[in-house]
Amino acid sequence: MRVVSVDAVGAIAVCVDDAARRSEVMLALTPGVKPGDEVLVHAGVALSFAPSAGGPS
Amino acid sequence: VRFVDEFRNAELGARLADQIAAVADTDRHYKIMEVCGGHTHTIYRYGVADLLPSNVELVHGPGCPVCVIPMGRVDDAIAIAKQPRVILTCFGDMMRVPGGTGSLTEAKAAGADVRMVYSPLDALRIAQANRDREVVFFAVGFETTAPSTALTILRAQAERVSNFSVYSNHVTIVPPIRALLESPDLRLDAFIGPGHVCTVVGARPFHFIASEYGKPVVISGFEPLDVLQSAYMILRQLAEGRCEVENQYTRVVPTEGNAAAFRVLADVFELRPHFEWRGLGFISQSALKLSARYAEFDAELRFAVPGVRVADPKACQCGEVLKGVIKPWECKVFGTACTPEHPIGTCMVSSEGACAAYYNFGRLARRTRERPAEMAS
Repeated sequence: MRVVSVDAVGAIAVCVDDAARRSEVMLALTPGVKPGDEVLVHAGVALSFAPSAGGPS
Repeated sequence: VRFVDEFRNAELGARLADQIAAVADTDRHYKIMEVCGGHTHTIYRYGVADLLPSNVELVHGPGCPVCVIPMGRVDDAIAIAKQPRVILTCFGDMMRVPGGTGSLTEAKAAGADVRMVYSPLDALRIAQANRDREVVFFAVGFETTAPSTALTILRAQAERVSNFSVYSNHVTIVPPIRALLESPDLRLDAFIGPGHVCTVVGARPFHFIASEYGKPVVISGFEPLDVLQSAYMILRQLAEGRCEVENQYTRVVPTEGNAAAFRVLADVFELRPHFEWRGLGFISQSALKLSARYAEFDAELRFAVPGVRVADPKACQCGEVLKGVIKPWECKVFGTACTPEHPIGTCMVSSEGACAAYYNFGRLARRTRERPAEMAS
């Protein structure tokens, strides 16, 4: 899923999947996630992430 | 799609298949267990087994979280759902799992307020929107899913959501693997390790498989090329006489796991002394309950449940399927009395269940493969 926005304290992101469905995702296990990053989400929590394709790898 | 398309490349798949054929010993029969139901789904959906030599057999393991929940625990969830003012929330697959007295879908049809959610956080949001109701999350899953439940409980505590609780059925993956390795009716050569569990726990918990039982493990991703490459890495280990835990899924799995997840799991959960697994029986220290610090969120303390052990239907062979002893199509009721529309066993319910995966994707390919032989005989 792609991160659309992150709340002020970096705890919850709004993410969108390939079908444009939006959902809330908890970020406690993946600090440093930013809008545009790709996150691997399981049951509403991001387990891993990759920086956006245009960002640093 | 990034991280997907490149792992479904047919040309690379064909090349990997050639490499696998080259490294496999034609005089030997290999049995490789994929622990995770996600791998089983990939294997059938993409026809991965068709690309392997006939002497390389993939055996399906107990890693489908819905499939291993015993009928008695489903009955307990239904009992909670039927209590006044309760909203019971669960993942979609769980609604169709048959208990001894029916399924949650049937309970919903009879008037219970049962709602499907995509995450425990969704359940918490329902609790916040329905302060006059008791909202219970029916939690299932391995170490991959448990952190989400734990984080949601922490959030419920921080936000003082007192009408939210969790009926925990979280399980851990290592004890059933050890039980399988000790089982006299199953001979395995190696394991395809559960990639997403390993994002949380890392590779270390699986070292005992190599060191104590002498069997290679390759932690694998979930795209078809991931599984093919993992099979190749396993066969190469066996050909070279090596026995190690290797990580094919390096783009996601850190060797040491996720330290933050370890902390939250240790804080919120504690091991149960024993837990019943469907088909595998009671396994010591194989499941998680809420620790005393979070007892206020424990649905098993908040509600009375029957707690009765219910035997599986006699016709159902989910136990043997979950242990890899038989293939889905070898079950007596597969595809006849037991179908995805009318499941008898849990393996036919979840998309990660071996029976459902085979029913939906594998059976036609197998029929096509076998037809020439049938015609020749």
